[in-house]
Amino acid sequence: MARSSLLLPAKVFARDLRTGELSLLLAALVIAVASVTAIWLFADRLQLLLVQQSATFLAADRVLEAGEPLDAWLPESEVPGIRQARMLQFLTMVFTEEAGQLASVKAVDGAYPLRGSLQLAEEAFGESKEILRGPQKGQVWMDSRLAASLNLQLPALVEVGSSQLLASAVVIREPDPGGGIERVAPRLMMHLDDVPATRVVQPGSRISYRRLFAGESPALRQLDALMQEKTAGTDASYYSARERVSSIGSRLNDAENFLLLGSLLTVLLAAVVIASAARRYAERHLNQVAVYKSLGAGPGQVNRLFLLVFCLLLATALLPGLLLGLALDRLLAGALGSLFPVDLPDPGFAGFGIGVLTAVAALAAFGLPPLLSLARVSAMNVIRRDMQGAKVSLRLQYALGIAGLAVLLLLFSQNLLLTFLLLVCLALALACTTFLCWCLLHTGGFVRAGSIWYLAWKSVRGRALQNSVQVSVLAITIMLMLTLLLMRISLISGWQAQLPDEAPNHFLINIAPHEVTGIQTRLQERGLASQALYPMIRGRLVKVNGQSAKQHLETYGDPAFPAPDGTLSRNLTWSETLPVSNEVTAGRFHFASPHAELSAEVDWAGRNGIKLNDLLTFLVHGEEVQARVSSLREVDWGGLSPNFYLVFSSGPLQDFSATFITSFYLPPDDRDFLVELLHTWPTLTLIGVDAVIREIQGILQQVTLAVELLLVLVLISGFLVMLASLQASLATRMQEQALLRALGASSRLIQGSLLVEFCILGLVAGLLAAGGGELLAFLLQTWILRLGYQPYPLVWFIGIGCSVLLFAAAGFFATRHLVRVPPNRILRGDMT
Amino acid sequence: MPESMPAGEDDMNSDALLRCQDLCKTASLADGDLSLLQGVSLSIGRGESVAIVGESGAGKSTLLGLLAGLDLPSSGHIWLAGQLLTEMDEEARARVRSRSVGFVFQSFQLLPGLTALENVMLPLELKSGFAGKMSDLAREQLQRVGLDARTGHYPRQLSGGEQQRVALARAFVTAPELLFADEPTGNLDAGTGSRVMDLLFALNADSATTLVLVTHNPELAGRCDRQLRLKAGKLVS
Repeated sequence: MARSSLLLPAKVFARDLRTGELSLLLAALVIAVASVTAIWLFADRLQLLLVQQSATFLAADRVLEAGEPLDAWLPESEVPGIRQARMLQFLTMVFTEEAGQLASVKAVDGAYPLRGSLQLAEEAFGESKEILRGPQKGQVWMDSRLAASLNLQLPALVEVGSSQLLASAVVIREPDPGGGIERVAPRLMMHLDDVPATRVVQPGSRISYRRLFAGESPALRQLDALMQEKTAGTDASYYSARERVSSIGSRLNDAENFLLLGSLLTVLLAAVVIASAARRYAERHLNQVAVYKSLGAGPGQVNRLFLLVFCLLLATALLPGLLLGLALDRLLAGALGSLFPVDLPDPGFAGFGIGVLTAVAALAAFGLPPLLSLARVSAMNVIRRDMQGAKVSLRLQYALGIAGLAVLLLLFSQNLLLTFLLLVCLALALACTTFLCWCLLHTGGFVRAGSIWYLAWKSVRGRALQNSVQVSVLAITIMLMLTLLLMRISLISGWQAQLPDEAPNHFLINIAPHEVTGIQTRLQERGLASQALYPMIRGRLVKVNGQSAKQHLETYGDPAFPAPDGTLSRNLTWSETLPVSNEVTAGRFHFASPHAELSAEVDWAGRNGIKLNDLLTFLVHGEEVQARVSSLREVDWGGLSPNFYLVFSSGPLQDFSATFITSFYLPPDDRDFLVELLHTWPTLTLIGVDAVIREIQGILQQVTLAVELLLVLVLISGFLVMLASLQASLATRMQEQALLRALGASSRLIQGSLLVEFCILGLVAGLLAAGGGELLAFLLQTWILRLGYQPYPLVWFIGIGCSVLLFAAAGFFATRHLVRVPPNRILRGDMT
Repeated sequence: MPESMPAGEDDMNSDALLRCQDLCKTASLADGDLSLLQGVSLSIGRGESVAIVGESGAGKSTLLGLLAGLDLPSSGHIWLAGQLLTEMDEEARARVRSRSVGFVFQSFQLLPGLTALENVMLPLELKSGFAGKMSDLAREQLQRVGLDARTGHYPRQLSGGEQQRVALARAFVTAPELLFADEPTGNLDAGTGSRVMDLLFALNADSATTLVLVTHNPELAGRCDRQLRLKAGKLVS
């Protein structure tokens, strides 16, 4: 029994392979495995690259930071595979013989930087070259702002505290430029071993102690677990690039979501190909199974037989699929490697596992249902000679297919909402298609018998169920491709809108009130577009609705964000206009209100338990200032405009002396203007962010490239779906056309009717695809990627046009040879 | 319900290989039930050849399908080789067919993707526990029907008569006790049909098989030991 029960499936498999019965299914499976594997492998490379690149924003993979020496938080012993570097940051005055300037000092050891590199020049704003280590003992490097404000010609001696050190180079770009308060003053970089001699670091000094870590993922995971435990609930913070650099972090998340979506769509398309090919395989075996049964095979034996055939199919498809996926990934990496600024990292092995898993799951969910329905074929069909009622159950296939799809999508995305959205759109597309086909069935009576239109309509109507399946499959394929296209357009334009070519690249702070007019005039004279000037004053929240702020936070604050006293101090501003890239989410912005009102950033309010109409009391320059919260705002921190957590109406703060802040765009070849500005207003603090912007734009370019590659891969999968679907209806079309030709229809009439039929089907599929794609993109953009929806009417033309063209071309191409084959060959069954 | 042939039946029944009692079959249609067979009872002895004749739509093929266990009746009982078919599930009926039954169909029902030899081997491959040399047995059967030179040919490369001879070889390869033939010459011209008929009866006699065939062909029916006539689902003679 065992021998014969294994022998027969092997023979059936070999025969079906030889006769081409399994070719389509095998090809579908190989392509599914290959495309999923290739996408995962390549996406893995890109993600590793993105993570590595973003790590250069910290000059490390992880950072531990605190206001006191780090010994209490550091691991007792070294974590294997982790490299470390030490760093101190503090503010101090730097002097030359003629001038002095407050500088933000970064003192580093010989291991710095662990990731990325420095760009050094010989003069301020000069041509730079790449350096992979920090300054040597006895030397300091400074940024262009500091060199310009000290009017220094390098090399020159400078005084830092009690030490005299040699300023030997200008830092044009550092891998961890940082932000916020540490960039208020220009940068001076020195060796850590020179710090004690400066005597700057005294008990009570405001120092930021940092330890940088870098290593491979497994070692980092081990370190993460250790450090998160050690730093929980303490004043020390431990973070990665993703958490620290919010703008880059959110772009990385967008890119990851997009790569995930690309993989999901490929899985979906693979599933469609497999379902279509398996259904065709099952339908072509209905008669065979009836013969098996008449010869003594029971339902169990039929099920076992075809299950084993599918197992053999799976085994045969996996190796070429995985190898093809690997080759495709290598091809992409090889062809596009030169476009990336650094070598693409090698991918992990997860892609292969995902390829195997996809093949097994897709074959089980989409291939098995039609196959298992074969066991229910009645053996009486061999006698009755009509195979009516012996069709593969569509309902069963859809039900199991959708269940399988849900499991697959959930497995891949681990996102219930995304899975649900995709399934809803799928169900909508299927329902709409069925309805439209029903409508088609009840129209078309006006066409003249014997015409091309009449034959086409008869064919559409006569094959209503089959056409409905085919149109659904193609509509969904085109819909997914359009969705991807829409997402690509909106992702890229979203990013570009946030960082336009002329995004502000310099911040001016510490502008005294009497300097405002002069600076504004100077900027206008140079034709530089600047953002509004905002007053800035430091204030500390002391009461909420009369209760002490500390007590309020303990009761209403978010326990996930325990607030040390420092976080209650904020830069406050006042304005009668809503700052750009701010959006009011609750209440009404105060504008020129005569009352004491303020607008709070919505996340800050949430973290601190602040609601609309709360009365907040701040301590500003030793005096209490009260204002009521009249609106909550969402702030786009990724933009490069001055932004504030708290914006007051003009009344409460305008009597206090404040400094002003603004930002402006300066073309890269206009560096002299910076030197001139600092000479005219020496107390100004100038912060250049153009290096950061260049870094962000570099990452965006990589992400954009990844997005376009994914689109190409998904498009290839989509084209295969179309071929598989057309292939499925080829046999019955052949039979009908042979009959028509035997009855005297001309080749022209038949070809014309085929063309019209495919155009009608293409039109229906295109309409559904464009509608569904627009809806899916809307839901994804609004709920998943949170980009904000923007309609693209052009997609309707592209969707419908491409669908009709592809349908007509592929259909006509696939069936063109049918009119050349003698009808009797087809009618005798020689061609089926 | 009796599980085997009831004792005390008449002498003819005691030697019966196939017997049915009060067989009814109705089909549900949109406008009501349609009666295909009504109260059919018959008994066929070992080695006997019986022709079921009648007009189109009389219920011949339905009766053949029920007797072979391909379908179940709406009511009534069928015993095949002493076993009550109507009490068996589909798996058990398949086992009975695999062990005891051969088939010849009007449209040959050869699998197009298999060669003549592979088509003949198919029932052996489906037979659980079969341990013999399948290809030798299949070749032997093809030799018996005069097609030993065409073993590697596919059905599309064979004429109608040759295809039906391959089907005969396939039917006899498992040495069944009972052979069902559904219009075996219905798709063949008179000359070819006559030669296939000769072959069928020669093999039948040679293998001592019980033959039940459905036919419109009076000549073919006339060569059987007995004829059963169906009219509107009822056995009339």
